[in-house]
Amino acid sequence: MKAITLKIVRKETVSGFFAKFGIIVVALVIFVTFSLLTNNFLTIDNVFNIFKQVAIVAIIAIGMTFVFLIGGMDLSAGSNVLLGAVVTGALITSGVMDAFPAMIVAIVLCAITGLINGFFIEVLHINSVIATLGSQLAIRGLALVIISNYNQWIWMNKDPLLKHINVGKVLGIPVIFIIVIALYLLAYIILTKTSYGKQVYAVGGNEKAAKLCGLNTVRIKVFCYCICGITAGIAGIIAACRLGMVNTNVGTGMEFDAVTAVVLGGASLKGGEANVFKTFTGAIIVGMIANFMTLYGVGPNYKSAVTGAFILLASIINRMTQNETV
Amino acid sequence: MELVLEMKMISKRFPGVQALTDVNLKLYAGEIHSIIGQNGAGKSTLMKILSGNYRHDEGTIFMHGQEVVINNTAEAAKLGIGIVYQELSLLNNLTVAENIFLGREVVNGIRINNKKMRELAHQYLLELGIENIDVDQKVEVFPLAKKQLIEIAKVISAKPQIMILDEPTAALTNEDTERLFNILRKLKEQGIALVFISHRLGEIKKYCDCGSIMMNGRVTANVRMQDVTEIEIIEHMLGDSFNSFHRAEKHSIKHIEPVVKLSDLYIKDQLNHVSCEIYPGEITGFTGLLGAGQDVLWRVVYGAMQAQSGDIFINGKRVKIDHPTKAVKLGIGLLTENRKEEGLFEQLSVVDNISIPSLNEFKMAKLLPYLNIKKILRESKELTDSLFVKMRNIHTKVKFLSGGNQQKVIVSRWLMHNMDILVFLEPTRGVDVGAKTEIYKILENLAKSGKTIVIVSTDTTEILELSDRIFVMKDGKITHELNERPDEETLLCMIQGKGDVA
Amino acid sequence: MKQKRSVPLFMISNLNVVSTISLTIALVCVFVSRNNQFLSLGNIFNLIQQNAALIVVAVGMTFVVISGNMDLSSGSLIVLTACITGIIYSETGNIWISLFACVLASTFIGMINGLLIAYLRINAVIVTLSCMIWARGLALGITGASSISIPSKLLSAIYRPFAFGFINISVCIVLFVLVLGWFLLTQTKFGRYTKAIGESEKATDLAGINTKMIKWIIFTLAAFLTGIASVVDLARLGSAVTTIGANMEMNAIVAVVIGGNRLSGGEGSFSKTITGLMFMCVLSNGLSTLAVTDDKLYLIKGIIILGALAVQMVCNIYRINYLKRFNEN
Repeated sequence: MKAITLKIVRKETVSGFFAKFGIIVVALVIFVTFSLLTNNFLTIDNVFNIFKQVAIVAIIAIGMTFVFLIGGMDLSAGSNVLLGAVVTGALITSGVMDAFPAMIVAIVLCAITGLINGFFIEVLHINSVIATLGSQLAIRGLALVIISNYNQWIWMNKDPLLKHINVGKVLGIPVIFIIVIALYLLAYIILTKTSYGKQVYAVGGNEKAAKLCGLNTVRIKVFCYCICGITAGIAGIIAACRLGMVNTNVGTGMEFDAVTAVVLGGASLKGGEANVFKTFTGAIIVGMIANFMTLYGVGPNYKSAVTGAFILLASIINRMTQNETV
Repeated sequence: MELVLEMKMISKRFPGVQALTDVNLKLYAGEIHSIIGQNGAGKSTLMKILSGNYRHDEGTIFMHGQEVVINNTAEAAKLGIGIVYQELSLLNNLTVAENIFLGREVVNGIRINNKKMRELAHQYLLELGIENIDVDQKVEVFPLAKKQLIEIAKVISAKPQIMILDEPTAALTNEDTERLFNILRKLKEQGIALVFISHRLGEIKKYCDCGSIMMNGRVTANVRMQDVTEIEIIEHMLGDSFNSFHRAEKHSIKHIEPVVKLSDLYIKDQLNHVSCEIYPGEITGFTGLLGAGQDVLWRVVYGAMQAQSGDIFINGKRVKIDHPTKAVKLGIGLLTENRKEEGLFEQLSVVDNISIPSLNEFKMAKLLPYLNIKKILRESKELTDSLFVKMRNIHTKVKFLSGGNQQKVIVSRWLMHNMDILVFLEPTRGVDVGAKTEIYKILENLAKSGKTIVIVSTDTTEILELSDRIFVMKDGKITHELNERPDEETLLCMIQGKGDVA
Repeated sequence: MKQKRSVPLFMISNLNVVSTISLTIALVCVFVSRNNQFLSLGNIFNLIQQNAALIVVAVGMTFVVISGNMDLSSGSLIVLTACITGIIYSETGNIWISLFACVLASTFIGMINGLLIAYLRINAVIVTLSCMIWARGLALGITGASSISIPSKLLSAIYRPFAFGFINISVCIVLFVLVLGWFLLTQTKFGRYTKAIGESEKATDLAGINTKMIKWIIFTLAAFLTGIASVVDLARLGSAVTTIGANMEMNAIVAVVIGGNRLSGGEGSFSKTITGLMFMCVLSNGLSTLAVTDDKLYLIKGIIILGALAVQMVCNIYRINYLKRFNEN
C-alpha cells in the first residue's frame, strides 16, 4: 500500500513539475538551440525585435487566455484586431478626434463586439467555435466597410502619439514593451487578486459547483469574451502604430497565433487551466520560431506550418503529463 | 437446484476504505437472490465486480464449478452475466429496438436488418409480458419505469445465465414494481439466476426467495425469506451499531418563529405538496429511501431546482428563489451529496475552495474588486484549524485531500460566508470514521451557536445521532414528523412505509 | 402506444428544419426580386455545380458532427492536396497518379488526425485546428503562394456535360457521395454507432463497442471525402490556386448545423444536412449576384449566419419545452 502511494506521489510531482514549468524549460531549450544555430539570434537588437513582433499576438493572447479559462475559444479575435485598427485610423484621419480618444472609442467598440460574442455563446448556447467563426465574418465585414471609405488604406502618421507608441522609449525601454508588460501585470492581478479573477477560475474549473456557490456564471463568462474583444482592440491599435498604416490585411490569422500561444502555455480546452505567464511564454516561443525562420530566410508560410505542428506537439505533451484530454 | 455462481472470500479496497472483506456468495438457477444492506454496505461494489466494472483484490469466482476471471464488462457479458444498471445504460436518441440490439445488431452482410430487429425486439417484449411499447419510438419519450423494462429486455436478449438488478425499484410506483416482479418471475421459470439489490425490505420479503445481508463490507447473514422476519433482517443490517459519537443532551428549544417555512411545494412525481417548519438552534434531519424526495426538496429551497407550485418563507418573508445566487444572498448554504461533481473545484487550492462564495466580502473597497488576500488566508487558516483539516498547507490543491477533509473544506466554505441556514445533503458520504465524528461535532456546535442546520441523509444511524427533530419522507410526501428520538428499527420501518411497528 | 402524429407536432419536432427552409425561402424571395433569373433551372444547376466540393465535404462533416465532434481541417487539406496534385502533375504529366495521390494524401492525414483524437484522446478541435494551420502553411510554402495550373483534358472532363445537357461527372460524384453517406449512416452498424457515440461515448463503450476505432474511421472518412472534394474543385478551377478551399470547413460546419444537426451529437440526418446546404448555397450564390462590394458581403453573410444559428438555438429551446409539456399530458 505504501509503495503504491509513493509511486503515485512521485508521478504527481513529476507531472506536476512538468505542468508548471515544462513550458519555460521548452522555451529555454529553444532559445539556446537557436542561439547556437545562428549568429544573429542572440543579439540585443534581435531579441528586442522578437519582443516587438510578439507584442501584438501576446496582447491578444491575454484575452484568449480568459476565454480558454472558461472553456471557450474566440476565433474572431483577428477580425477584432482589424476593427480596432480601422476605427482608430478612421477617427484620427477624418479629424473627428485626437489619437487618444479615438483609441478609447475603438476599444469600446471592440468590447461591444466581444459582449455580442458572449451573448451568442453563453445566452443562446451556440458553440463558441461556430459562433466566433460567424462573428469573424461580420466583424471583418464591418471593418472592411469602414475602410472602404478610405480607399482600403489609412495613413497613420498624423498624430505624434502614434509615433511615440511605435518607436518611443521611456527610460530606455520601448513603449511597446511597457504596454505589453503593463497589460500582462494587469491581467495577472485580475486573475489572481480580484474577486472576478477567482470567479473565472471557479467557473472554468467546475461550472456546476460555481453556480451552487451562488455565482452568476453567465455574467462571468460573457465578460471574458468582452475582455478578449478589448485586448484584440488594443492589439489592433498597436499593430496600426507599428505599421504606420492600416490596410485590409491587419490582424489576418492572428487568432490562430493567439490560440497557439495559449495552448503552448498548457491551457486545457475544458477550462480552468490557464495562466497568463505560461501564455506569455507560449507567445515568446511562437515569436522565437518566427524570428528564427526569418533569419534563416524561410518563408512566412512555413512559419504557419511549424506553428501548427507545435500546437500538436504541445497538446501531445500536455496529454502525457496530465492524463486528461486537452 | 443448480449452483450457477460462487464467490469465495472476495475482498476489495478503494483508496482509504475497505469496501469488501471476505465476502462469500452462492447463486442458484431459478432463484431471486437479494443483496440487502444500508447505503455503503458494499452491495453495489460486490455486483460491479461480477459485472466486470471492478476487479477484486482477493478471492475467487466460480461459474458452474470452474474458476473464471472477469476483466471487463465485455468478458462478463460473454460469461453470461447481465446487469441492469441503476443509472440505466440506454441511449436516449436511439429507438427501443436499436437499444436492445446495441452492439449485437442483426446484419444482412453490411446492411443492418432493421425489420428483423424490430420484430425480434417486439417479440422479446411480448415474451416478458411487456405490452404497449412501440419499438420504433425513441427511448427518450418513455418514463423511467418503461425505460427500465426496455433495459431488462436488452439484457435478456443476450440470454444471460445471471441477471443483476441494481436498485431497480428506487423510483418506481407499487404497480410498476408489481409489473417488474411478474417479469422477473417469468425469468425465474426460465432458469436464470436473478440478483436483486435493494434496501426496500417490504419488496424483498414479498418477492425474493433468499438473501445475503451485508453490513460494512461483510456478509452478516444468509437467509431464506420464508424463514425470516423483517425485524430480523433489520437487526442483521445494523449489527451492534458502533457509535463513537453521542450527542450531548438535546436542547428543548422553544420554537418561536420558524426560520424556514415551506408551504405546499409541488413538483409532479417528485414533491407531493410538502409543508414543514424549520427552527434555529437545532439540527433538523430529513430521511427516507432514495428517491423519496428529501434531496429534491432542499435543492428547490436552494434554487438549484424549481418547484411547480408552493411557497418558501425565510424569516417570515415570502421569497422566490430561482437561482442559487438568491439563496446565498438570503443566507442559505447547500452542501451537496456529490462533492466531486457539484462541490469541489479540484484544481484550485484549499483557500480558493473555501473563499469562492465569499469573495465580495474581502474586497478592499466597495467598488474595487481587489482582494485582501492576507485576510482571506488568515480566515481560511482559522477555519481549517478549527475543523482539523489535514493538508500539506492551505495552498494545496484540494484534489489531493482525503474525502473527509474535502468535506470539511466545503463546510468551511459556508462557515466563512457566515450563513445562518446550512443544509447538508449526505454530510458524511465517502468520509472515513474519524472525520465523520469530527464533522458531527462541528454540526453540533453550529446548532448550539444558533444556526439553523438541516441534514438530509439516508443513513439512519447518522440521522438518529444528530437530529433534534426528524422528518421522514416517502414518495415525495412527509409521512412522519418526530420530535422524540425513536429507536433505529422503528425509524427504518417508517422509512420503508410500514408505519408504527413494535 | 404510438404518439399522435399530427401536423403541428411534426412541425414542432422538426422545427429546426422547418425554420431553415423558411429562411431559405425568404432568402430566395429576396434574391429573386433582385434578379429574376435566380430561380431558373440554369442558375439552380449552376448553384449545385459551384458548390459540389462543399456538398462532398459536408457529407463527411455530418458524420463528425453526429458523433459530437468538429473537423476544422477541410479547407486546408484541400489546399494542401491540390498543391500536391499540381506538383505531381507537373512532374509526371499523369493525371490519374496525381488525383490518386490527392485523395491518398488527404486520407492519410485524416488517419493521423483520427489517431490523435481517438486513441491519444486529444481534443478534436485542437488537432483539426492545428492541422488547418500547418496544412495551409505547408501548401503555401511549397508552392511559394503561386498557383499551379493543371491543364489536363481528363480533369476538365469532370465538368463537361455528357447527358441531358447538364449532367456531368461532378454531379455524379456528388450524388454518389450523398447516397453513400446516407447508406453508411442509416443502414450500417458504423452509422448507428456514430449516433450512439454522439449521445454517450461511455454508454456505447459499456455496450462493448469499439468506440475508439469508430471515431478513427469517422475522421478518416471525413478526410477521404475532403480529398474527393479537392479533386472536384480542381476540376472546376483547372488549377491549384491559393484560394482553393477557402473557408470550406466553416461553410461545411455551418451547413451541417444550420440544417438542424446538433453539435452536441447523437442527432442527425442527411436530410438536415441537405437543408443546410441549400441554405448555404442559396446564400453564397445569391450574395454574389447582388451588386455589393466584398466588404459589405462579409458583413451581410456574417450577420445572416449568426442570425440563422440563433434561430436554431431558439428553436431547440422551444422544441424541448414543447415536447416536455406534450409528453406530460
